[in-house]
Amino acid sequence: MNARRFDDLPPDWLAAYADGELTPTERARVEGWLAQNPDANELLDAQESLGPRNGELWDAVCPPTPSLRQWDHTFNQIAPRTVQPRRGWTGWIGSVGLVATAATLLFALPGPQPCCVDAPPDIRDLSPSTPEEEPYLMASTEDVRIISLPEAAASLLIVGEHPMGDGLLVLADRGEIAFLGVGNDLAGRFPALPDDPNAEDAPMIWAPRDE
Amino acid sequence: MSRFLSVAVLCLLVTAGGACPPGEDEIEIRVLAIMVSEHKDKIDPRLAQFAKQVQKKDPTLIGFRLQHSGRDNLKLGDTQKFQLVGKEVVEVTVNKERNKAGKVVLTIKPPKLDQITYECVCDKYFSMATQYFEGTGKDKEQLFIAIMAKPCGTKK
Repeated sequence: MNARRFDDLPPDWLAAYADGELTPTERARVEGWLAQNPDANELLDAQESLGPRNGELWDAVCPPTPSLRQWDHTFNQIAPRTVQPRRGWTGWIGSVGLVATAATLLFALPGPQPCCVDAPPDIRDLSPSTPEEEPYLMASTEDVRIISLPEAAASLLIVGEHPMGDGLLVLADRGEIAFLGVGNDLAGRFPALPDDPNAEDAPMIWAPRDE
Repeated sequence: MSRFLSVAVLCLLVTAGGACPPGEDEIEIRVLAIMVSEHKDKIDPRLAQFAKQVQKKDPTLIGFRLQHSGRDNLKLGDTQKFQLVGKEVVEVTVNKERNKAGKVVLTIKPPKLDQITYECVCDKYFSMATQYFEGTGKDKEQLFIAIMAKPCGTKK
């Protein structure tokens, strides 16, 4: 009988088969091979006895613990060979080389450079060289007098004083105002006047209401 | 071109503004258009005292905002229109020179109303409620006008 050898099968497949690590296709191939090589079943049994499925074996197995004597013996073999690292002369040459390189870079490169912000240009360099390049003349607040201003545009003012000024709206008090003549509206109604202008804090006129 | 534009803008500003303060025979008139609401409860801080006085008369008015402001220098007898809101204007005429007490007589022609002539102390506002409204519903606002004359005396 010309029993097939492991030449027909990757050598680790039998162990992988015993440990259940193969794909179904690979398992089928191994089982086919075992059918043609029944002598290999003994080897398979041996593999399975050492595999992870043999829980009793692995539960019983524990790594050997070295005795103190074995530890001393091992340590005595290692200790004489243990030496402190010493820097040889070649190491010092390396350090000198690094220092020389740093010194070269320090003196060869230009001075400190700002990393992100460019220095502001010299304003003197921006002086107009010709009359055509004269800067725009901007009016100051004193130069401008705002005549009429929608409040929606007030926040857009760059120069100029608000027509209202900086102060609050302060109404004229009693005794500071007198009504000399009051006209009517289109319906012929007259506005309501303060009964006694001197009795109100701030006499106002209220136009007749359109009911 | 840009230089021309800058000069043009500058001229426009100065000319339109009449950068000079009022002359000795002029009175500066300031006119404010104020929109008042029963629903928008925000009050422009500059109008706080005004709002307080208005609410004494009508507590339902709770929102006060400045809509437009204008000023101009007028001589005795001059009439000037000041824009209020939309196409509405108020005409202001200086009727009488300021007296020793600094009071000035003005005649105004507000929207939807005939002329009103009054004498008022300088540097303080006279105000009136018009019957001009803008918006509807919660956006409805009533136009108020405030007018002031200054300065209180001629320059020495």
